[in-house]
Amino acid sequence: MEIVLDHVSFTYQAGTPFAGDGLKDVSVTIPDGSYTAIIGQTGSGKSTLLQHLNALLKPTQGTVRIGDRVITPQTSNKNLKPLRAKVGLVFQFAENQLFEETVEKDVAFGPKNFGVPAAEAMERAHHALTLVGIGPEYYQHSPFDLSGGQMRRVAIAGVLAMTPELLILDEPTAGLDPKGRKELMTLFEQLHQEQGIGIVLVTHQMEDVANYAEHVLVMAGGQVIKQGSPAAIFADPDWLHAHHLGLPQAARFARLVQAQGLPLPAPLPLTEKALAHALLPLLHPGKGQSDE
Amino acid sequence: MTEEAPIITMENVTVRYAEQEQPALDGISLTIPAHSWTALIGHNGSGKSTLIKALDGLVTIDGGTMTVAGLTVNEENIWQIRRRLGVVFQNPENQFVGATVADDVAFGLENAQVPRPAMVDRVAAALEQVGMTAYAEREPAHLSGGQKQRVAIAGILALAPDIIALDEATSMLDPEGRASVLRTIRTLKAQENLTILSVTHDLEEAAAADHVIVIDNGHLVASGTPPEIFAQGAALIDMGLSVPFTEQLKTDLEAGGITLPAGYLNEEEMAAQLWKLYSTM
Repeated sequence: MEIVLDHVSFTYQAGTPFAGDGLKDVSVTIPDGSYTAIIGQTGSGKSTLLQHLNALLKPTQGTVRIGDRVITPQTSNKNLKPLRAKVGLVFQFAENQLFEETVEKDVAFGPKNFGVPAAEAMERAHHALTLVGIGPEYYQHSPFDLSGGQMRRVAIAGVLAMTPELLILDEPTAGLDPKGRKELMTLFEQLHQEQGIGIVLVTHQMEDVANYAEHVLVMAGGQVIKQGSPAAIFADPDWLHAHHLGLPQAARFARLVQAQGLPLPAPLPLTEKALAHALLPLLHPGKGQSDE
Repeated sequence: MTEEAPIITMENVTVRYAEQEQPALDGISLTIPAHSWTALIGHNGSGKSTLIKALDGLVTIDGGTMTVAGLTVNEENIWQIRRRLGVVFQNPENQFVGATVADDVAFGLENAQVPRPAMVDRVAAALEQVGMTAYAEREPAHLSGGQKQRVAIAGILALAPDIIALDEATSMLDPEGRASVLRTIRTLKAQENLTILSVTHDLEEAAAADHVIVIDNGHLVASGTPPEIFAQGAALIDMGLSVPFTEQLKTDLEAGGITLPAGYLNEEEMAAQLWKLYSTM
């Protein structure tokens, strides 16, 4: 499902003295089935943009086309529900929204609320819990007895149980330990690769952008100021720095060894594996080059 | 660095939560030297936060003894201990009580019954130290996450503590906010001769600490300098942790047939080693 924002502006509390710009004249396309990362400082408009992708917010000006639905400033709030089943939004610290007595009830709540019969909703819940790696032994637990990482996964299962075509993730790994972070990022990658689910990821982790995204939007001051592949975005470290954004660690380290005189070939390696791959022939010419 | 006397000691400390079979802390013994920066690492649910809460008297222990700044942690001493040990928690939204930034910083002093003129001076000084003077009359709600955490630190500083404990205090911040809070803490540590105990998942922060303590399932499993800890790469990964970037790179380069010196190398040391290998070939 493609999403197209056409000259979208959004003003918070429009018409009041507290009015503030959320988005300014944003025109972007999120291609069907893509893995798109959105980066930018806190306050740059990332969350406001996300909420336009499933019509939680409607533009003050311009149009948002989500699949075949067109959202304009005049669109009524009625009948937006089916849209929200297709575009699943996982908020930051999603575990704060858990509320049911048991894990399975919490996950089944979404589909039930959308009119799915109870038995099928439960089936979907179990399937979604399997996807996120929560086994049957937890189905009857209270979600509040789980660890932070498990609670986060249950909350994500609640969104997956709606069988969305597009999954929007607002800093989904914040506060998790390295293993929990890796497991979640691997899960999203699998959903993307194996089930063709589109992903929109808001993150501060440039490593995740380098490792997973196909397309990157850079936001500042409510506008999309640059877009392109991770390689294109990270090719200009000075521009990123000027916009308070960093490089993935591998690229940062690559610049350090380049500065010392090691002739690492362009483009800058963005991941640790790519860096090791680029370094090996330089450190071990005879063997490295013939083997590569 | 000469070994300082311990400012925190834990001897066989056990904490059990109701309804949980496994204790959150299971006979932990450790000492933390005064004026050190100690990073406490471990996976989610390993007991790190419980350890901080136990020291601050926010959870009661079921066995063992603890001292903070020479005082045994018990009901009688707890208010004195809370003036010596301040905790900055994870969520910047959850720690504000004042209507303005200055009121908020004053809250701890009011609790400690500091007379008003002294209070005003100490609030101003604490805000100055965290670089938030210009925001004294603002509402806390309108600050960024990094600014909120710096105000929380000012509230602790105003009480002139010996120890600041950070319970994942930067994990909800963006990279700039995180950097600003860590910079503030580093400066304060030097100026005020503080001891820092930081619960963190940020391995680069841990790599810059004086000591690293690893907790797993309520047990202390390792304690040492960052090079000592991070040289045990595989064991850390088995515990659900990760290793710093240079250690991952080293593993991959070694798998590719490159020989690097044993032990943990930080980024500068790794870059220097790579240059040495390249230039002497």
